[in-house]
Amino acid sequence: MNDPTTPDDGRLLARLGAILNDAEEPPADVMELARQSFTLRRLDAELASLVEDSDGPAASVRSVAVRGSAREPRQLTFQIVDEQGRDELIIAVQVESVGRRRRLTGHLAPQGPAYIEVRQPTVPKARGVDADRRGLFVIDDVLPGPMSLTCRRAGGPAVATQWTLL
Amino acid sequence: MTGTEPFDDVALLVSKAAGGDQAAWNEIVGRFGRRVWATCRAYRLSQADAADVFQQTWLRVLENLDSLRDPARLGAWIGTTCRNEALVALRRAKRAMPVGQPWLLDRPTDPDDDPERPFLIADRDAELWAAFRRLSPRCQQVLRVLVVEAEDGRPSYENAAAALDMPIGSLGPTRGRCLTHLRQFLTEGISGAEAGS
Repeated sequence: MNDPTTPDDGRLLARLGAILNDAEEPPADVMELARQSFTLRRLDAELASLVEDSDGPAASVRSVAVRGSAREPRQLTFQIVDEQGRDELIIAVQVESVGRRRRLTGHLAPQGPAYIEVRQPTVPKARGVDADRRGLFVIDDVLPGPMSLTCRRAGGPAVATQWTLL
Repeated sequence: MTGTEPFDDVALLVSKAAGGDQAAWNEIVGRFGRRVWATCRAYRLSQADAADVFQQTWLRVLENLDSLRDPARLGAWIGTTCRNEALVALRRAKRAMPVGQPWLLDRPTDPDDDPERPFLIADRDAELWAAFRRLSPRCQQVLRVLVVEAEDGRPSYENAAAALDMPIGSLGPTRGRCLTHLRQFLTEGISGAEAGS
């Protein structure tokens, strides 16, 4: 779209922006949680990026098309690539609502056993489940909000998924 | 997000925080917190969703502390991250609504929205604020989203249109109309104040 903003419009919007940006103090508990999140930093795991999200920005056209239809499970794909650009690990997760909680059903590629931990800022301790020989795992009772999975496999470094808002 | 923050200062904070300095992290959160919150609120997320997007944004900042290509541009990076996360959250909220439900612009004004706002506003901005509050809820929201989207100088009209649930082509004319009203209220407000003095 062409930008028909005149310099005057720009100035007025900028003034308005300055007001709106500073107008509201975030709630104290929200700020405190943000400060405390520093302890959730992981230096011991490689980061698997979110490369596909059925609710993500690239899905806008599609989500308009299904707007209002029954919610299909959200599909998330995390991926880590090695220095040669080859897939090292893919963690694919389907997110379903069960009441107010979420159930994560996932699989690993390449397949194989692993230990999967789920971390959430509002839950003090990480919980873990085993992925079976085919790399399949199910995690119940995950709370809405940010979450990250850590995948540990014999003989490889720990891999943590990018923080993702459920 | 405006790029006006002192270069060395922000880059130094990032490097200290990346080195494990909690105080530097607190300073980063303190410095950019209001803007991140303003972005969450501009997208009219509920208080709970806004809190989640806020937290999620900081977790994303945290995991990228080491890999930011240009730490001095931290503000812009945070802004982009927050807008993207807000948009995803909004899309999910939209999906949860029944067919044909006007889900966004016609939502009743959030009672949390108003009362505490004005006290942080400087006198010189009071007139503009008063004029803004006289706009229709739709205009207020359109301008809020556009302002947030314009923050780092590369507004995504596609995102703004998606957030506002309106066709991209009507964004420009609507903005023009809303700004005209805003100017009109601003003039009325000033002349009204002069007449009364």
